[in-house]
Amino acid sequence: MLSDLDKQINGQDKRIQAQIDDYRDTIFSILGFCSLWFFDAATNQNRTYVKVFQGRHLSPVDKDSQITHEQHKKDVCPDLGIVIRDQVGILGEVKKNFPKGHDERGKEIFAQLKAYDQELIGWPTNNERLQSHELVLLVHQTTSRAAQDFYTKDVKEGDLRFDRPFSIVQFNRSDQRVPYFFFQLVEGKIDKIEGSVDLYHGIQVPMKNLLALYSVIKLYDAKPPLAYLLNLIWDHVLTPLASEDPKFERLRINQKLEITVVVEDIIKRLHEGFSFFRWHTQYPNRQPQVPHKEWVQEACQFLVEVKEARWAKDNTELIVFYRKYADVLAHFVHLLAESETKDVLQPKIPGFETPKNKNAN
Amino acid sequence: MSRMDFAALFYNQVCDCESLVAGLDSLLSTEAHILTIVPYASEQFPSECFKTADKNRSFKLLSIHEEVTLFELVFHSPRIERNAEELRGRFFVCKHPSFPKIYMLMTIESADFVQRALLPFIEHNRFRFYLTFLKHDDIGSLLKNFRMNHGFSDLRIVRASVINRFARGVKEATIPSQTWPRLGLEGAFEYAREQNGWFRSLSFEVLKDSRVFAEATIHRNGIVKTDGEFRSVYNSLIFPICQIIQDNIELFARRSRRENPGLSVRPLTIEFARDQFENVEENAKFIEAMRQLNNASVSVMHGNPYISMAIVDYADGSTFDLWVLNPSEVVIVPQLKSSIASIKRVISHVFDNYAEGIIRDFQISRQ
Repeated sequence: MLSDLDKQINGQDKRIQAQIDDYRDTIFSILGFCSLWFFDAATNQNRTYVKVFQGRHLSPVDKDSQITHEQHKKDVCPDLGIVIRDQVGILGEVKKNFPKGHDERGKEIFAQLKAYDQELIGWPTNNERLQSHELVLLVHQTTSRAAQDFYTKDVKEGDLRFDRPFSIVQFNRSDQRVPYFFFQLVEGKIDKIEGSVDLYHGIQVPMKNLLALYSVIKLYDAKPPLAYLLNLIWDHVLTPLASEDPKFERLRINQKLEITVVVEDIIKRLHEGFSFFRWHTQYPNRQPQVPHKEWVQEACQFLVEVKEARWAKDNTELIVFYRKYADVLAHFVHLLAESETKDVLQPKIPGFETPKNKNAN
Repeated sequence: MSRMDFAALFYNQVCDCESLVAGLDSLLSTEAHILTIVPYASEQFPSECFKTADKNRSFKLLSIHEEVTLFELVFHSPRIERNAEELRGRFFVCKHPSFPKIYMLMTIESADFVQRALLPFIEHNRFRFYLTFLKHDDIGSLLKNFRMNHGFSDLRIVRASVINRFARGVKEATIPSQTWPRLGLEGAFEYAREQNGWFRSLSFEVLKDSRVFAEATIHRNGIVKTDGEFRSVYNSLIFPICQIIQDNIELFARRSRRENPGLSVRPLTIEFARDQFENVEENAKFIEAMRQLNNASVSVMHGNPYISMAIVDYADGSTFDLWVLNPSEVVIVPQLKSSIASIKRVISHVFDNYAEGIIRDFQISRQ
């Protein structure tokens, strides 16, 4: 029979898995939505005149002035951006779970979208400017009503108004025999679609169509669940490094292999191999490096805390005690669940926080 | 009068592929030998492949010609005994006339030498020697063509090793000939199909009318043994097996993202003849089957209704994504590093433990 602690760990385990599922679904929805523009269903080809980007820094610009250092601080980084024929564009934000009711997070989301509702510089065009753009909020079907209500009651009737065309698109993943992502307009109107895409009645994007993209884009410009990031690091950075060691092939499951990895190399490999990097090779300026350094450092620090690695060279290198796990993802999900559950259960007396608790705060 | 040593004569006469085949054909018709043929692919020449020895084995190159190389292998059994046992034997490696990376290893040495000394070396070095996997239906077609091409009246199954899928893990059952008295090819394959199984190996007598001309064995990994009719075996079994190996290495090559411009993916699909994943319970069966892949990490990112897995092959560090997004196919996406041997291992695991299908290049079709 499971103890209370084990039950809590199991519960946390499931929560982490759900977070990973949400993170991946967000990536799939960004790809699916953008594909409505860049992918021509009739010819089965990508449209060369459509540029798409993710996480790009765009700067607000005054009509009469150049952008300043101060304005750079106000840069916006939309979840998705689309440019059609270097003339018109769409900026979007994906919020899989839009908060229900009238809470502060809803206001923050719309404030974020309002920040996109101005002339911006930094578009992937010759002069980094665009004639016009529209705004879209992409939300999961289960929370689209909440987003719509919030927009109708708190935005339209309130002080916040959009000067540019604004729309809400809901998405869901259909659990049919052939799974697909479904996108449907629930508020506003999007004019930028070329061809015969009927977003009003809804569009299906079969997951299979975007499988090649799903396999190379596993990270976007939002912090991934730690277990998921650790899984990517272990599978795609540490395993290839370990496999260069002659002892790798015969390494038994109870044995460890010490390998050294430079933190910057982890970031570079994941950035080039598993982010939206390939979308931006033609216009790399203003694109952030994903994963962010602090996410990777946190993942490395976790490995140190659970004694699967130790720091070297002023924390720029990591010596990993590599092992062959039967299920790498399950291993890290469980370690995280254990660690997080114990953190929650540990009594915290003010002034006696452990260094880990202090860091977390 | 001293007895003629045909084998010694044969070893001295071989200088090319034709003299090797002719010599073996003649030798098997005059002396009792079991010839083992191992078709394989390799990036390395035989002189390199059989240079590196392990602590129990040492190789010696005895003669080298353009098409054929003769080696000797000395094997010291690791068993701890007072008098360490030594197995010594010779084998030829013959280049395929058309495919530069395909070779055929041939030996008439004892089963003990083959099973304990030679084959384990090949199996342990599977990144140097790429054998194949013959699908259940491939074996059937090969044997039917073999029978037809050479006018044999029948192939009578004498032994078969059948593996049943889903029998709480893979379980092997050797079926003795008594179970199948005078069972022909078609009957044997029907039996295996009914059992949802596949043949690991099939031993059969080669008949013309009621006369037995040879007894041969074909293994799923492409290894063939025979005690006669070598020319027919060579033309109608070994050559087509070499073609299958060639087709596979062409299909599996350059799949790793590192080898492709822009680190793009080149996925493969396994297409099943029917809607294998029509019922969602099938997902659990498939996941369970994949989890049996040894020396690997199998992480299930999503299991229902679609399947998404990440696989790490600990044999060489190859990584794959595996997807089921359609009831009739599995998509294998080789990641940054993925070797031919590893792709073959993952696919043959699916065939052995779940179901066989047709391997193809992945195609997107807008639905």
